[in-house]
Amino acid sequence: MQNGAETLEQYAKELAAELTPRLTTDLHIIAHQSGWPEDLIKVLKVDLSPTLQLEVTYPEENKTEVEDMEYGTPSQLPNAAIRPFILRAPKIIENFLETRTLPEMFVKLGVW
Amino acid sequence: MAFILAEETALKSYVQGIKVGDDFSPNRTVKVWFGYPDVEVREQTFPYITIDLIDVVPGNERQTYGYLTDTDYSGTITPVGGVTYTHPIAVAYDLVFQVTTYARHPRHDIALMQQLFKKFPSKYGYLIVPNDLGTENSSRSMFLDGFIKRDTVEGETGNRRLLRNVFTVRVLSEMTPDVAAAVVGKQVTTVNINTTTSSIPSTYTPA
Repeated sequence: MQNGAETLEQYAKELAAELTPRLTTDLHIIAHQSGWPEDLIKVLKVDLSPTLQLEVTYPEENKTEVEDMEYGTPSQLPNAAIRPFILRAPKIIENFLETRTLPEMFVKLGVW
Repeated sequence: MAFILAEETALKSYVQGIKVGDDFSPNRTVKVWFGYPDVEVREQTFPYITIDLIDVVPGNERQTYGYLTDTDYSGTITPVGGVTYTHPIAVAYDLVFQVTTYARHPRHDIALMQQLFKKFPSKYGYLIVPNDLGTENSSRSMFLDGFIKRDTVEGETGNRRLLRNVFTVRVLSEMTPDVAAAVVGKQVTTVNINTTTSSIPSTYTPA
């Protein structure tokens, strides 16, 4: 039988599986609005780390291109997309948790 | 000065005046630019610092509502005896700036890092911003949201090393009531719909 912490961790993973695609789409929209090229937008993803932290990821081979867009280069001004996304992400997650998951979480943990 | 312009100017003043030293010159003044200094427009003398506004985010978490009464309309109108103004509380915003240092010399690079980390601590940082009338200052909370090193040694910099540090700095701000009221007072009368869409994010197009 699972204890409360294991149930919660399992539930967090289930939620993340649903949440990360939504966050990835939001990240793509912000990158698109910031003028990032489409092929670079496609490599950006929001993932859940092994320590259950949400993080923006991209392949190592795109690191320079992504960071050049985000922070600028000696000849190009920054077109930040990841940082604006990170500033907005808590609100998106909060809305998701409030409307979709808090009641479910309480039911699963036997609070209600 | 108006919202955004006041903070940009205050931030530039705050960063200006940094000096670095090396074997040839013990006191080299570091210039500060808004945006990257175009080689055709301005002389690029290393080291230097650039400031870019990269985001403006509504500060909804600390927004309050109500009315204030004062004699200078939140520091925008010269007080006249016996006249008071009642106006809505200002609209809260966070302004996010990228402060980037550029250096060729490692000692300059380290000196710039050391001085800017002192200016932008992760906690307890603040920026003094004067009001429109120049009669009062406000201390705005300021946070270091991120730091990254972006050194390059070849390629776009012509095989010369370029040492770069990127500081992401967030300054709390507010839009003064008259600016906010001017926006609120306007009504949308027509909406133009683009029937031929040409710019749809890839994630919204059918597979």
